[in-house]
Amino acid sequence: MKQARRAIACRCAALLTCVSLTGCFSSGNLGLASSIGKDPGDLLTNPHVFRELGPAEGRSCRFFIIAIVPVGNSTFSRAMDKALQESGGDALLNVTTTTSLYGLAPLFNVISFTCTSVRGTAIKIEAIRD
Amino acid sequence: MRAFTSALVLFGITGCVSTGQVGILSRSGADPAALITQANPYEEVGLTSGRSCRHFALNLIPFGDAALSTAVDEALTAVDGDALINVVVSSSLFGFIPYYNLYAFTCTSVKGTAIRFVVDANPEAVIP
Repeated sequence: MKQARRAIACRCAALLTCVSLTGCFSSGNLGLASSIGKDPGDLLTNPHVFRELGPAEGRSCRFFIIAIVPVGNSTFSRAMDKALQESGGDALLNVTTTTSLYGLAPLFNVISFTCTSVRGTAIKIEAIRD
Repeated sequence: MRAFTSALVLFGITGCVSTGQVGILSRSGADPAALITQANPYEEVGLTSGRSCRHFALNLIPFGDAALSTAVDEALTAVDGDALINVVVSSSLFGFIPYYNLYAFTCTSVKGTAIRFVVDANPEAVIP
């Protein structure tokens, strides 16, 4: 009798774990991503000198509470701006972007959220090359 | 009856969209730094847009790909472009019959001016 109860409890716990958090993510790569502050035409048509600032990453999320109340901003530009603000850079090279969608207690749709993450090498554009 | 219909309409679909702007987005390539260190003359191909979506059925079965790179690829492939400038990016999250969590999807969209690099003008120009 005890063993049967224990088996049922284990199955319930497993089911609860399965349905209490669900999610998935996908990722991709970009070569160059620059903020809106730099003139794209000038950046591309004139040769520039830049300084590598190192790896940078940023993340932005939007939450959806009870599938009715949206909070936050999950755009790529927001995540990139965060990465650039922290590193003091103007653009990112070799960018990996990831978008995710998660649901907490999905049976009751308590909260779901989608996030965009960016990771790349931050650069500071210094001057037009002679 | 009217209240029931209103509630159905209100909760039949819920969603939100947020947007932002980016200067340049280029595909992944061997040497993206060359886009900055070299002069890369280009021609404007025109306005283009791309969209990628991930679907989530019953909050258990995911399918699709909502990565930004997929949306950029779709936009550039449509016009045979090399990069996007002055890009508007948006991210959306929608739920159908959210009370039962029947179906949700998140999409990433890009809209911008597609450009194509002019290789003849600069033989060293890098096409990513």
